[in-house]
Formats: sequence, structure tokens, C-alpha cells
Amino acid sequence: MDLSRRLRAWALARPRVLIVDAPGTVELRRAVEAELDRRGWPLAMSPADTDVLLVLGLPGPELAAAIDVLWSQIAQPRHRVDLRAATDLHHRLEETVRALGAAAPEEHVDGAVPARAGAGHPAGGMDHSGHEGMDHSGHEGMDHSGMAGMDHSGMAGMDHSGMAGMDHSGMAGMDHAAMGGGGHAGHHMHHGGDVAGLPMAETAPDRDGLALDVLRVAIGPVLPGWPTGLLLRADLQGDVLTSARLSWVDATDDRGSPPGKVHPQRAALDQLASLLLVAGWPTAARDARCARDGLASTDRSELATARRRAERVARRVRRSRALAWTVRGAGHLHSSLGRTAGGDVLDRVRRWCDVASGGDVEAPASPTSLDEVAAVLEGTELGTARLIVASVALDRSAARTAPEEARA
Amino acid sequence: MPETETAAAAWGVVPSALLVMGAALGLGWLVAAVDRVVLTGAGAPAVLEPVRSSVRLLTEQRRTTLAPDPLLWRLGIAAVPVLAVLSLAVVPIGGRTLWSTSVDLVWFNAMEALLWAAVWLVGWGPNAVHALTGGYRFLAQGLAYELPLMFSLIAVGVGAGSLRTADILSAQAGLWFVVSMPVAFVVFLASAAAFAFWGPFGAPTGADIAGGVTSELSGVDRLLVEAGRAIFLGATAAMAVALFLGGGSGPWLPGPVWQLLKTVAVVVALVWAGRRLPVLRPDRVVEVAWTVLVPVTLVQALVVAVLLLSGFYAV
Amino acid sequence: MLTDLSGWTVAAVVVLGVLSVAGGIAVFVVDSMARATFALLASFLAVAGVLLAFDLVYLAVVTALMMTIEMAIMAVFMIMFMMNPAGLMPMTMVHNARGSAVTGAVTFVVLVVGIWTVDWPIGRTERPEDSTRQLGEAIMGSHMLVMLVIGIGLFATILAGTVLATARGRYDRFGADLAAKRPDDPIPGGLPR
Repeated sequence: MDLSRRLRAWALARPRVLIVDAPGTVELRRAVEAELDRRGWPLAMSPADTDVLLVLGLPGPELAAAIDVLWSQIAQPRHRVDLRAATDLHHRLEETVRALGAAAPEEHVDGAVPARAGAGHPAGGMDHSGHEGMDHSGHEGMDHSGMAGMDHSGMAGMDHSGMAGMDHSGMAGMDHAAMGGGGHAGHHMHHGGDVAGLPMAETAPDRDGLALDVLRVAIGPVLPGWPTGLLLRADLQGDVLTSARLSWVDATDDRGSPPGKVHPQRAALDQLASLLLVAGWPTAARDARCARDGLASTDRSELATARRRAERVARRVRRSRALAWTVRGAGHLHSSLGRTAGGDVLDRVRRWCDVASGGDVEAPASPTSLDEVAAVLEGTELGTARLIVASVALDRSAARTAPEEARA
Repeated sequence: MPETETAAAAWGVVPSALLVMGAALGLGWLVAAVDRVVLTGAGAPAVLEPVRSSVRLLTEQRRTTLAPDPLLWRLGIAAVPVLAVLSLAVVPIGGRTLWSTSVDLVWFNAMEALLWAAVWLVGWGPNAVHALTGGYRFLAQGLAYELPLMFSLIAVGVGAGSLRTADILSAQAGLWFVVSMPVAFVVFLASAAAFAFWGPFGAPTGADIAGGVTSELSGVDRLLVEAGRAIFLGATAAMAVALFLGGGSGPWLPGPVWQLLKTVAVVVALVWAGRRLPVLRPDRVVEVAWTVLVPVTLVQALVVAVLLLSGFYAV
Repeated sequence: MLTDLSGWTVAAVVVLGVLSVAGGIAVFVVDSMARATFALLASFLAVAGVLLAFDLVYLAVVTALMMTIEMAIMAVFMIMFMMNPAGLMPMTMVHNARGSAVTGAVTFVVLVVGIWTVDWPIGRTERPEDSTRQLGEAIMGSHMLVMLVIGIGLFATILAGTVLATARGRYDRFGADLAAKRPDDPIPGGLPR
């Protein structure tokens, strides 16, 4: 038994970490990322490949509810750490490894999840209805109630409400609508009811005018390389987004980064790091994070190394023909703020690179409102939408200007 | 046609099947270890990380989603590593393949095609947007890369006058095929990476869709899919060595050592080059595959056919 | 005995034959598009297994290859018209289920009756060393004209079908006088044009 315990401890010594940063924890997040990079702990992509959930700062009520959902989706063994400050970071992470590795699986089950049957739902009316009715008995490994709320809305941002039902009107609607006749709508076979509490998908004309199933999705508030707390609600047809709307969870919570003490070069590297992560270039993202962390140093030689490193990564990204080829033409922002905010994703990437290499240039301005960004997301594919969001500096002061008519 | 004995005939079915399994695990570990070293920049200690991850995933709980299609989901998950190992059955190890038919190349290609179905099922099964998006990205990519891959395999088959890997090895005794078929070689490696949805072709598991087809997998399910990918990439590297780099031929050292060295070199080169690039978005890649790679590989096959008729290859 | 195949081969052929029929029936029984697609694929793979048991390796592998690709393309078309993961609501895959079931059953009966009642000639020739080579020589030799006609016919059908199905033609992409330098596409591809 001792051997297997030690094997477990060894296996869990480099856990995969999902970071959830509450507003106002920029410096803490950077410190944590630096420490994780130093230890070689990978960043998780989704709750499914998470071992440790790191919650930074004090999340507001809606984000806290989303975190609970996330937590319920993480497979055992798992551990949650709430960090308020970076002071005893090393110690806390060591403790985390011990807690993960030492505990037998049964011990995990007890302090697992706050019961969330019928709990208040996170993030503005994400639809959890019906998740309570699940029967997990058939699944091996689903041995505790904490996993029962296996819905997706927290992390992967999936609102299942539009998705699981097999919708016959999809087929029927295709047949008729493709012939240009709208009058056949009555022929659609609507099998009322739902699956596992999820209503069926509807049909709507897509970008090319064909009738296609529509899923209502909510993407966010926690995703890799995504501004935590941002929520994208849209209709999804295939992988194309329509009627996209952006909002912040806990919108009244305006603890943004305090103005005035922003280090522009570090901010640019931070932006580049998350953008490169989304663009699927993890080595460059790692270099950008590394340079960013070095720039915070007070040591002169370390600072010089970090500057060189920043220039190198900025040059590499700027000159990358592959990146230019793959992101060019996406997300043209016609900003009222003029040239520095406009252009496509590639223009913005290059401007971030200029700032990141320490050049005396103005950082790309933040869009004035989320609506401005949401308008560009219209009709884009999911991956493009992620790139566009990652290419703009969104801060929480850039709220929706329009009234939130959609909030449930 | 010289009939080379298969491994199953020479060493018995069970030992040689075990050998292939061992080779599969070794190749998978090699790919994962090199990938990790390049990815984290951590150097030599990172070579143990794939083992660590595997043990961790073995102890991890499996999860499910709301209203999944469990049958097809689990079927797809199990099929990914099985197909990767089956594709290795026609790759020569120490000069012998586990089993040999007159159509080894087509067998290899068929395993790749079956992989589409498997990966699509892994994306479809969990009933989740990101996973399904990943599954469809993989289909689009696979469709676009199937034809270039087929044509580059055909070029090899034409050059050797046989679809059997053993014959292809002996046909390269004079000159490695990579010399006369450089385009086919590059396309073969690129489409192999595309089929293993890895590196610049990793859009099906991209970070922009929270891990895509793997976004809902944990525990042994994730281990199977990740291992299958790594084995598949390793198997393709080994196949590339057999098809284009003369297999075990080389001076001084014994054949198996040469083969191992070449395979390691191809894996390292593939991983190193692949990780220098960002993920290439499928909508861009697919157009290039259809409109550039298909004609280019066709021309390559034509060149090989003309060379064959002019007596360039000693068939 | 009717055949010189070994007992194992006969057993494999029987089992795989039953599996392929069962897979075919499953297409009509299951109520999700994905399951129907993959039931059909399972049926085809069982047929490929039968061919493999007969030592017709090339035909077996090509059957598996082509049918898998075909089913994958079918899955692409599924997303084009509906996106419905797991598809748990009952639905049928087939239009005119009764008609197709009757047609299938009648064909099956006719073929089976034919197979068992026709007095088949007994092959006197030796089995070829390499059936793949023999097949290749037949296709590229005596049957070349047929294969070429069929191949070009199929290809032309695919192109014609695509052209007819595409709503956007070159006038939509390049303007009424085809003068535009760059096509006006909703999603640009990877080529600089």
C-alpha cells in the first residue's frame, strides 16, 4: 500500500492547474503563472484535465457560482486552493501537492463540493435547469454526488439548453427551406419534450440562408486565454456565431486593475501570452510570460535579460509568417478611437509586439464598449472569435453600453 | 518477388505481437517525451513526464457529461489507440513486419481513415459544443489531407513496384526514396501530423475550443486518446523511415540500430519543427491542401512514374 | 463439402456475415443519426472482414478505407444540416422506411436463392499467387475501358452535383463582369488571392 501511495504522490507531483482570477488580481496571477512555469506545472484547458483549481482573490457572487460548477466538473483526485496574496505561494503549492498526493480517494469525496442542487446559477442565467435529474448510476467512477452536476456552463461555457434534443425540424426544415418555401413550416415534426431536462434545438436560417439547427451557447466566464469573467452569449450554428453579446459577470464589481501603475511593456507581454495560447503557440506564450515576469525584477542584470527576452519573443511573433497567414483578415475593428484600436487581429498582434519589445509606441487602445467587440464577432467561427477577443485589451470598465435587456 | 518472412512467422504470433505493442509504447513515449522537452524547455528530466502523466491519468476518475452517447463515445476512445497500434503492424521493426499482405500501404492508409471515424466519435459522444467542434475540425482536416497522403503513398508504391513494406525497403537498397520523392516525404510527414491532430495541425484539440475533442475526457479515457495520438505520430515517423529513408540501411551499425536512430531523428525533427509554429487554422490549411498539395503530389507521382519507365529504379 | 476453405475461415465468414446483416438491420432500428451511420459502417467493416477471410486483402482493405471515408463524409453532411450531439430524441434515418425495407428484403432473398440454387461452375484454374496483382492487371488491362468510363462518370457526377448544389457561383464571387481581383467570400481561404 505504501508503494502505491508513493506512486500516487509521485504521479500527482506536477498537477495541471486551472487558474481563476477574480477582478483586481493581475499581479497575483502573474506571480502564480511565473511560479507554475518555474515548476513545470502545465495549465489546464478545461475542467476535464484539471487537478488543482486555483482561485485568486475574492470572486464576486456570480463568478463564485461559476467556480462551483467548474469544481463539480473536475474529476477526482482534485484540490482547490484559494489564494489571496502571493506571499506564501511556494508553501501553498507544496501543501497542494501533499494534499493531492496523500489523500486517499475516499477522503477527497468528503469536502468535495458544496451541494448545488438547485443552487443559484452563475453568470446571468446560464441554464442549469434539469441537471439535477441525471442518473449517473451507469457510469463507473461516478461514485459521488459531487460529479452529478456535470454540466458545462462554467468552464467550457456550454449552455446545453439548445443542444441535446434531437430536433426533427432540422431535417424537415432543410428539405423545405432549401427549396425556398417558407410555407411548409407546419410540417415540422416537433416531438415535444426534452432530453435530460434540456430543451430541443431550434432551427434558423444560417449565414448562407439554409435552415440549420441553432444552439444557444454561453462561452466563458473561465477559459484558457480568456478574460476571466467575460461571458459571450451567442447562437451557434455549426461553429459560426450569430447574435453575439458580451458582458461581464458581476458587472457591478468594478475592481479593475488600478489605473496609473500599469507597466505597458508587461501588460503587452501579458496580452501576447494569452493571445498566443489561444493561437495554439504554447512555446511562444511561455517565452512571453517568462519575459513579462523578468521585467518585474529589480535586479539589474535580470532586467536586462528580460528586456532581451522580450525583444526576442516580440520579434519572433512579429516576423512569424505562419501566424500572419493564419490570423490575417480576422476581426476588423472600425474603432472611433482611430488607428491604434482598429485593424484586424494581425495589426493588433503586431502593435502589441511593438509595445512588448519596449518601443516607445502607444498601446492599442481598449475598445470603448463590449458591443463594439461583439459586433465583430457576428458571423465568425468559434476559433476566430476567441482570437479576436484575445487580441483586444478588455478591461472591466468597458462594459456594455446598451441596457442589459437579455439578463434573466 | 523476394518473399520476406513476417515477424509473426519468424518469431511466433504472440512474441511478435508483444514486440509491436512494446514498440508502440516506446514510440508513444518517445513522441510525448520529446514534445514535453520542447514544450517546457525543461531539458532531460522532462522525459519522465509522460510516464508521470500516464500514472496520474490511470488513477484519475473518469467523468461523463449530461446526456452523452456513451456507446459511441467509449467506442471512439478505445478505437484511437487500437488503430494506432494496428497501423504499426505493417511498419517493419528490425526488418520484419508483424504481418504482411500484398497491400501494406493501403492497410496503413485505411487505419488512418478509420481514425477519422474514431476521433469524430470522441468529439460527438460527450454532447458538448467544444468537443463536437473539435471533431468536425478533424474531419475537415482529414478529408483535405487524405488525398495528398494517398498520392504520396502511391508515389512510393510506384517507385518500389509493390505495396508491401518489405519490398519497398529492398527497393531502396541503392538510393533512398527521399531523394527522388522529396515532396511525397514532406507531404507524408505533414499529413501524418494532421492525422495525429498534433502541432500546427492541432486545431481539433486547440486551446481556442478548450481542448476540443479531448475537452471532456479525464482519467483512462484521456490516457487512451493521448497515447493513441502519440503512438500514431511515432508510427508515422517509423513508417517514414521505412518508406523514404531506407529503413535500417546504413554503414557500420546493424540495421535495427540505424532504424532506431533514424526514427528518433525524424521524431525530434518533426516535434521541434512543429512546435515552432502556431496552430494553423483549418479554414486556411484546408484550401492549401485541396488546391496546392493535391496537384503537387500528383505531379510527384507522375515524376516517379516517368523515372520508373526510364529505368531509374532497379525494379 | 462445398468449399476447400478451412473450418476457421468458414466460421469467420458466417459470423461476419451475420454481423454485417445485423449492422444493416440496425441502421433501420437505431434512432440516432450517428448510431445509424456507424451501424452502417460496422456492417461494411464486417463485409471487409469476410473479404479478408477469403484472402482478398486488397479488396478488404479498400472496402474498409472507402466506406470509412464515405461515412465520415456523411457525418460532415450531418453537420451541414443539423448539429445535434448525441441525438437522443428518436428519429429515423430513412425516408420511405417500409419501401426500402421491402426492397432490401426482396433483394436479399433473391440473391440468397440465386446463390444456393444456381449450378455454379467449378473453377479449374489455380488460385493466383497474388490476388492484388491479378486484380490490378485486370483493371488496368482487359477491363480498363469499363473502369475509365465508370471513373470519369462518377467524377463528373460529383462535380455536377457540387455545381448544382452551390448557391454561390463565380458571378457572386467575382462580380457580374468577373472583374474583381479577389473573390468576395464570407470566409477567406489560405491562398493569397
